[in-house]
Amino acid sequence: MTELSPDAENLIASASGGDEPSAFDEERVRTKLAGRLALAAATVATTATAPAQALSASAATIQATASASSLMAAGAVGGAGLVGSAKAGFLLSSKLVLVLALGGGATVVGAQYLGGAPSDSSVSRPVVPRADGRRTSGGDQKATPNQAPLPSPIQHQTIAQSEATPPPGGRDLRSVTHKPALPSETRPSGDAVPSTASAPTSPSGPATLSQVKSASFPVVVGSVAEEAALLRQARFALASGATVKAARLLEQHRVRFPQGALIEERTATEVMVHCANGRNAATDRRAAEFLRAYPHSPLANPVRQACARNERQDDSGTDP
Amino acid sequence: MKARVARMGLEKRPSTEITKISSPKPIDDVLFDEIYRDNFAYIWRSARRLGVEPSSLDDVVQEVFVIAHRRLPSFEGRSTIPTWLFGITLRVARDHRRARARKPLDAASEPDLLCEAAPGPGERLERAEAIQLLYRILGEFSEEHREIFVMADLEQMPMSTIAATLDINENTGYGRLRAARRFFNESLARYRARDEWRL
Repeated sequence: MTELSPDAENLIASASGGDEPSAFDEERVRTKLAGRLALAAATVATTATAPAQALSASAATIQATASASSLMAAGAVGGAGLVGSAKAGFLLSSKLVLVLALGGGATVVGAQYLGGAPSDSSVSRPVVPRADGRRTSGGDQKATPNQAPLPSPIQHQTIAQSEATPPPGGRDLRSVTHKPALPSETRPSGDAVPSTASAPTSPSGPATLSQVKSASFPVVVGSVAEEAALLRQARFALASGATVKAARLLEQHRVRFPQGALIEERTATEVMVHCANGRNAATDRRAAEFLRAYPHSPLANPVRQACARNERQDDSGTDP
Repeated sequence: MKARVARMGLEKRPSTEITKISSPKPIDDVLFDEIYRDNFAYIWRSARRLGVEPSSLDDVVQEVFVIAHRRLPSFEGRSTIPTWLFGITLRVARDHRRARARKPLDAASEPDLLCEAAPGPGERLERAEAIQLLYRILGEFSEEHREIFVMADLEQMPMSTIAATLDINENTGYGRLRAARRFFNESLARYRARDEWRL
């Protein structure tokens, strides 16, 4: 393997830290991002059902940012290479409508956060229904310095996206060990393994930034959002190998939302958890039951893949 | 080498522990916020190193996180969150570069990029010059050489991750990296020679 020349090594070392963003960069992009996410959520809501609340939020968002068409177009263009246009259809899925309908006054809030200075953000936090007491999954709420966090439009996406098959980009990235073996020619030791698991990695910013952070992303409140949150936690637990925790969260969902709107998602995740624990006749039966119950589910393929992957047990390869 | 790795900002690499993200935090805004906070600097500098000019960085980084937000529910944990985000960044940056190539900017835009780091006395000046030269050489790379050089020699990713992210096999990756390093060494030598000649 060709090595870098000592001069090249020195140059790279000298340049280190020269292209790090500032706390201001982080805050600025956060604000813009919050605007886009709010707009996307509001636009989807408008397109799907046009509830008055979403419309007003959409209008406010547009006023605070830019025209919906231009921003959405920008998003479409930027994501075109990554997400097939068909995926957009999922954003308008019926369950998304359900989120808005069942949200009990689901409100998309984002405009209030746009363009606000950090010091203003905590002050101008809009009064929205707080979901703190309703969305916990058992006393493990994160204590934030100022206010408990609010649910975000990611919950819109949970439902919409969970119906979509996993994107190519996500699939490209197969399991990467936490401490990957380094090419011997290029990496003398395990020093490339980031060791910042518990340390914040963003540039240290002023205290006000944290206030902005917890308030920046727009908000959707509703019981379906709570469901989505629980299921998301379960998915992440599963992704991190914590199948017991995933199963516990799914059970919480089952208890709290026995007739929930996201039973299909719960069932799919349950099957995946079972498959992750080892494929056998029982898991095959569960998978078959799911596929029979939801033959057209967008989660059908992920379920099949999760179980098939577990069967092959060769998924830790490097090629996607 | 080890010292360089530390100095290149790798110490600021976001956590690769998915478990951190999936720890019992209450709800999604915390999750996404955590992902954003932990990975913003990484994605920002990666986008720059992958050839996104400063004037477009905000848009590109936003786009990465918008896509991540949209795809998060279908994230399957086959890679770490930072690696997953880098894969998105790679593709968004690629699309951006290609779109930009179709609509060439005037020559003045690149020097703006290079002069962005405000020079200061002593070490800061040296760093500003180094980053300027580094980006100048990166700008001369082909797309595939630039990508693999950034991943391997600036971000210190293992080849297995690089290969998976680029959808190539590892041997191809090593071959590409060899060529990229040779190009970097030669380009740097040329710049040094010119500097000496000017003196």
